[in-house]
Amino acid sequence: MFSEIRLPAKLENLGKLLQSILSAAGEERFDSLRVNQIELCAEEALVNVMNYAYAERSGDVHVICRDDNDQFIIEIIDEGIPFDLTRMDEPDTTAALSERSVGGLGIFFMRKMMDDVRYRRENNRNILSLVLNRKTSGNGPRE
Amino acid sequence: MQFTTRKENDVLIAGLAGRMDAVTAPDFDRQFKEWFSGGANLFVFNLSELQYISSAGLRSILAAAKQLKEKSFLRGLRDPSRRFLNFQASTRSSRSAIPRSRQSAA
Repeated sequence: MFSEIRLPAKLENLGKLLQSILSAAGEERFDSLRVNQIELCAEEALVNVMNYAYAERSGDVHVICRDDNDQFIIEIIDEGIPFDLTRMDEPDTTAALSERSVGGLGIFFMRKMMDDVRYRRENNRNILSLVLNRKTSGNGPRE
Repeated sequence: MQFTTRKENDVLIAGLAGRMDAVTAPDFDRQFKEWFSGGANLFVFNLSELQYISSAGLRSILAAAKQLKEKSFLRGLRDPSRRFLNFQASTRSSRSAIPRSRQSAA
């Protein structure tokens, strides 16, 4: 499967972008828990682009959903300032409440819920890939 | 998002329902401000009717809890959000379950 959508990186487009990702994920026979995890991680990645990628100009966020052998890959692409989300520190979940910050929580969720999270910088673009192992059981040819 | 409230003695029990994402979290911020400026300062937030919460929602709840200091409790939040936003002390063991390999590359 292959689907893509490209829209201005504005919060008002979050719903449309998520809908596109969820409809692609819907074709992959993921269970509802997995779909919820995809929705959450996709929001985290998209909102990060919307809030930080374009400092002094507006720009687009481009989302590609595709299969790669046994994996379902969601690529979140922007042309903003170089930023590797996968290098963010995780939040300290043991800190006292008054010291607690939610910086890094997005990548914390992604690492916990996705099978892999990859970043690459290519042709002046940030490409963040959320990778899920596809179900190989069921009625597919693999069984 | 939808909000419900009831009072038990001095405690405001605030029910949050629906989706708490980057788009709707500001609704909670506004609502909390209203409750707080209305004089409430002891809260229980019941999140069991929340269908969805992202880090934007957690950020808003954390900001409210910080403002209230020790005078708030959370109810009905599921993992992994609960693990992150546990108002009581989180355990060290839950933290070590997180893969750290990528972070060490930074």
